[in-house]
Amino acid sequence: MASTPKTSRRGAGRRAAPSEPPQPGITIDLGSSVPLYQQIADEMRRLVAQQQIAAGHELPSVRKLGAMLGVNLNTVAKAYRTLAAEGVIELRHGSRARVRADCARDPAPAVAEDDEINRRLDDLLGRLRLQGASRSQVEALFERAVARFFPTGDTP
Amino acid sequence: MTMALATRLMLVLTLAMNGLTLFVICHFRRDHRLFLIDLGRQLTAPDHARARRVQWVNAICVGASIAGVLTVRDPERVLALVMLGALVPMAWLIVEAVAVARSIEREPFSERYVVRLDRPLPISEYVSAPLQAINAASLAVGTAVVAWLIDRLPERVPVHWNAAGEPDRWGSPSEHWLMLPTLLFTTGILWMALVFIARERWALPPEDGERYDALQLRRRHLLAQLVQWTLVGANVGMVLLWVGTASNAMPGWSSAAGSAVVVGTVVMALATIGPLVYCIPRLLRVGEAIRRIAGTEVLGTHQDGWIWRGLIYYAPNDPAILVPKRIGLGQTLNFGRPIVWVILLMLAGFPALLLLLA
Repeated sequence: MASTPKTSRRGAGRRAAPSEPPQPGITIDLGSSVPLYQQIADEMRRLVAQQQIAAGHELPSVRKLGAMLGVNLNTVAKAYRTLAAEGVIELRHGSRARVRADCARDPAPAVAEDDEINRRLDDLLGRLRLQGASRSQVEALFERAVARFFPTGDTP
Repeated sequence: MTMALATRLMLVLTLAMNGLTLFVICHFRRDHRLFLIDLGRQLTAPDHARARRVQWVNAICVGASIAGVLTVRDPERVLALVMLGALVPMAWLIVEAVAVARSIEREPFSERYVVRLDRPLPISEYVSAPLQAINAASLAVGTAVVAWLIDRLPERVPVHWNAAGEPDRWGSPSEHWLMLPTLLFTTGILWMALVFIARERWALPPEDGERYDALQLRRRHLLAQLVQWTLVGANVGMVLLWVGTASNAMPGWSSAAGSAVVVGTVVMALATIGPLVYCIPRLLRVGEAIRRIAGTEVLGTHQDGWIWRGLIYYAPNDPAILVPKRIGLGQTLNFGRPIVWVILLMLAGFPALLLLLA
């Protein structure tokens, strides 16, 4: 039994695993108070922003992603609709959702005027302040986070 | 070899195989695992005593039953002995396992997990081409041989034998075709199991994901191997039984037919016990490593879906049909999905139909 071809391929896969670049993954918390569709949309947005999913890349189908994550397919569909409304992905009838080629090229002034982003930033900073974080701690936290998304300076 | 001798040997082998399967289930225990059930706590002296009781009952019943099969002449008594030898230890195991399951300790678990977008891997990752080729070839050869035989058999042939190997029902040779749906059913189950293994949810813990991923891949490969070797072996054995019983009525072929029946039974016995002996210790080791990373929880499942001390998974919100077992080694069904009940009815319905026809 040990001499089947599957065994050798599996062995090769196990040895190769640590050297491979990390594959894009979505973190889900079924016990969290954040709605599941929002968790999925947040994670997808992060993967696109960190370029772990390239522009123009196809996303898994709603059914497949629902089965993988263990959530209802309507939840995934809602997450995709949210991302489409933000201009991160495009949905077309009869084909899979894909990341928009121009998803990272929105004009910069729009960022400062986006109420949703300002609301989220205020919420985040408010929480950190109430948790007793100092200004320098918050700045360090943001610097690390910014480095994750903008590893090579100011180019999007 | 005569059919009478072949039948005796077949019964002895079936009993031995049953006994060995129970032995394997009771033998492999870890410090927190009994009857392959993860108890979530250390094993105690009474737990070990339970396993030893099943082993003794199993050994005594199987031994006595085999001795009876070899010495008793009356076919009905032989059949009763076989049933006792197989069913009593099984029932005893179930009683002990249920008692143990009542003492399972469960802690609430974190429902946070990571899903990689390049998973699950396609089903081709798990399919063994040589084994599938053997399965297809044995089906084709068996069908061809039986078709050839049926044209040449007398008009009335024995189609059913009692426990002493004497024919107790005669019929048309075409009745031998009834075996073909069974073989196709086994093949269908095999593919269904492979699809389920391939599509199983692939949830990783937020930390140590790479290692966990590799362990899960190993676990799935072992499960696929177990299923493929067992079911392909069972099919090859059944084809031999099929050809053996069909050719028994050919003039001058009865001794070869008896040998085919015995070889078929040996193949089936080996196909049951061999993969179990090979895969279970390995599955247990992989299970231990997975447990060290993520505890006893099944990542990617809904906590409130685990009912009856984690024995049953009932989560209508979860699209999964099969999920990894929380307490065992393989997979369990999500009873919250209506399709699962349809599958169960189909799985139970076919053997019931066969029993009615036999």
